[in-house]
Amino acid sequence: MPRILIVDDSRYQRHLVEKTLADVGCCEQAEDGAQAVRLFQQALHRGEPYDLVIMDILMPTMDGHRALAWMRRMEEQAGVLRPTRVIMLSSLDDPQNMMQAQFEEGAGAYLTKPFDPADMLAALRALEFAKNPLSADEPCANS
Amino acid sequence: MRELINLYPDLESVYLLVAQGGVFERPTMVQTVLGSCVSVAFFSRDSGFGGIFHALLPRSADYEKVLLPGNRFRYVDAAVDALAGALTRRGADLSEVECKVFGGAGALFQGEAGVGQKNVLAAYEALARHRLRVTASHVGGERGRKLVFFSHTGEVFVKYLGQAAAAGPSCRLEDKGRRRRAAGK
Repeated sequence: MPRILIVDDSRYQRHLVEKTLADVGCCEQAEDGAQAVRLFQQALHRGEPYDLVIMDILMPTMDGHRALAWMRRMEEQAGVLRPTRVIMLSSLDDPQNMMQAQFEEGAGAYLTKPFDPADMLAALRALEFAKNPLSADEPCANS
Repeated sequence: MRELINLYPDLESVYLLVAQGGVFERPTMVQTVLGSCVSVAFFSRDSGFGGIFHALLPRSADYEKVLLPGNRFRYVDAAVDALAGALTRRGADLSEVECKVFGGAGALFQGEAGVGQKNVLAAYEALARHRLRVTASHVGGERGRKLVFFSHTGEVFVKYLGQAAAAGPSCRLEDKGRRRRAAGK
């Protein structure tokens, strides 16, 4: 079962996300970026890296961008071939934050709060954590 | 795909080509395939209809002094303007419209943003100009995407093209590795 790390300073948000991901994988939670980085590093050292991180941006101690940058650095140093997939989940929907997360930090998707569970499911399908009706059919034609 | 068709049988189906787009008042399943191009799916929950476009280039002013009406879906910024206008004319309140942004694939070239990245930025900026809310986006990376949009529910199904691996991120780490290997040779 995929290992998922949910990072958000709001206990309510973490609960909402965990509820949405109940059938997808085994969830752990972090209250801020610094705690997330520690958990991420421990998991990497154990040889059991997280498969998916759901990351908030605005958090005390360390924000989501900095935490994700640390995680990517650790993966690079550890020679990880397949970086952990990340869905950014933030109340910020300005171009700068969305560009930074997806083009500089390698987030696979960006959702804004309040999020629709259907959008979370769509992102999970696209990142291959949930059954995708598009993949069960004929291969896509490249055009 | 059959599963999706069965989800809403008897639905009209449209394949969106490059530089096409529009608002669909009747329930429609819209399919398209994206590389560096960008699609933005608009959905008005109150009105129950949506629109989508498939644009090729970021900003019209960089390519045409006077935008020809036939080219409005060719450019990301003009396409956002066109669909925002079309939704407003049909009575949608833009403050409740949900927008989802897809595409913009393409590797960095010597650290410079490619057209995919520029397309995505143009989309975000144009949407912000109209104060349209981006609820979800799935952009960047090195692989193209197949996309299916249901105009009457706002649902979007996305699948990466090519091999099943690497969903998502980051070309960035791979790029660095590649540059390092190249430098070591």
